[in-house]
Amino acid sequence: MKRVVVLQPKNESLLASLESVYKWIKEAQGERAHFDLSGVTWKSPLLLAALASYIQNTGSSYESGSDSYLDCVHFPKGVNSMSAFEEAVQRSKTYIPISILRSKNGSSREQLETLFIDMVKRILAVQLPGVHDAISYPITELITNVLEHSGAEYGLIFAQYYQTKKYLDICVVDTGRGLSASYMQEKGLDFSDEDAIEEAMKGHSTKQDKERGYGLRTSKNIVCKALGGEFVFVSGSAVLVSDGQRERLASLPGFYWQGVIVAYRIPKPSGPIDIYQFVE
Amino acid sequence: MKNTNKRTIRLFTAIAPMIGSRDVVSALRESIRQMAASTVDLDFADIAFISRSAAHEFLVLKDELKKRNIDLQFINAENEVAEMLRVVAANRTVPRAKDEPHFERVSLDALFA
Repeated sequence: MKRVVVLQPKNESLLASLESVYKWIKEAQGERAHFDLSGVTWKSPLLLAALASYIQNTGSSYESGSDSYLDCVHFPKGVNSMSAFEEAVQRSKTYIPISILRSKNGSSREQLETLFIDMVKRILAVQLPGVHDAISYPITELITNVLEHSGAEYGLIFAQYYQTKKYLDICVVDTGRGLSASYMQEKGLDFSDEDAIEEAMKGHSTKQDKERGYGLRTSKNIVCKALGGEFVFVSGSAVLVSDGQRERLASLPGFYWQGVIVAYRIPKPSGPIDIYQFVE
Repeated sequence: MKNTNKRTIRLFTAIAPMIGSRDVVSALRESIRQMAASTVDLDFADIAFISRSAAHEFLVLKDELKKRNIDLQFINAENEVAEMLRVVAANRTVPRAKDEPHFERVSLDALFA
């Protein structure tokens, strides 16, 4: 089995975590591998969620030295029921466990998603008008996309609030068909991964219904414009990085993610938020 | 003879305190058909949030059932839930023009610089 060393991100930015993820995925090449995390001290949700998903999907393994944080967040298997989530939170009160939301589980999945969102809100501890909706909106829409579009059996979601830095990182991952394949299979449209991301962000749904296609772009707008955050979207061999001012699309040579990775960072809200000006 | 039965579905217990996904809303379709009622109230009491996707699915369901002579009513939808239903319904009637953001194509080196 190939041994892959996961590199410490060069700083704590979302882009630095993305770069680390890019390197290990490129090296692993979609195969079973043994990941060495022992040199990583900055384990962001983007890095851990993508790695957890990869490990589960490929039957890979990892080593991390003694790291209680990974145990606290239930890396890499996560929790997939309300009772497991509640038990995890009972044990490590301020850590949100990696949560697995299975497509087939219907209302019990919604209840787990509710628990996850409630925990995020509790840890963030902001009681300003509109903030709870602003937290809930992108999470629910991104999970809906996993269930409706990816064809994946499950989605994985993870969050971490950094108390001293006052920002919240969230990552949603699936290993479904990815955007480009969605457009091809649903509409017969042949897009590169970059073009597929651009189409999705313009609101052109992979579904036939013209009233759809709003969830992803409005989520990005709420994260970046309403909340002042940053948004990263990976599918196949392309990535979009958005911060409300710039929308940068890049090709990721030698890299392929089967499915979608969405990661975003929002500063702790300090004033009321109105998401409805961004809801279409 | 017209069936004038009225039934109520309390969404908090039928689904969850937050409703995010389309599939759980869509699953109500079959439950409602089996009720054989002419009016069905979807009770949103204690529902903290519904996503845009879920709101859209509720509205689509309402339209579909209307064609089958089933009157679907949304009751006890307060504050943010009511606002989401309102905004999505308004957009269905008069779609907002989708703004076209400018996407800058950059190299990997430029991205990670």
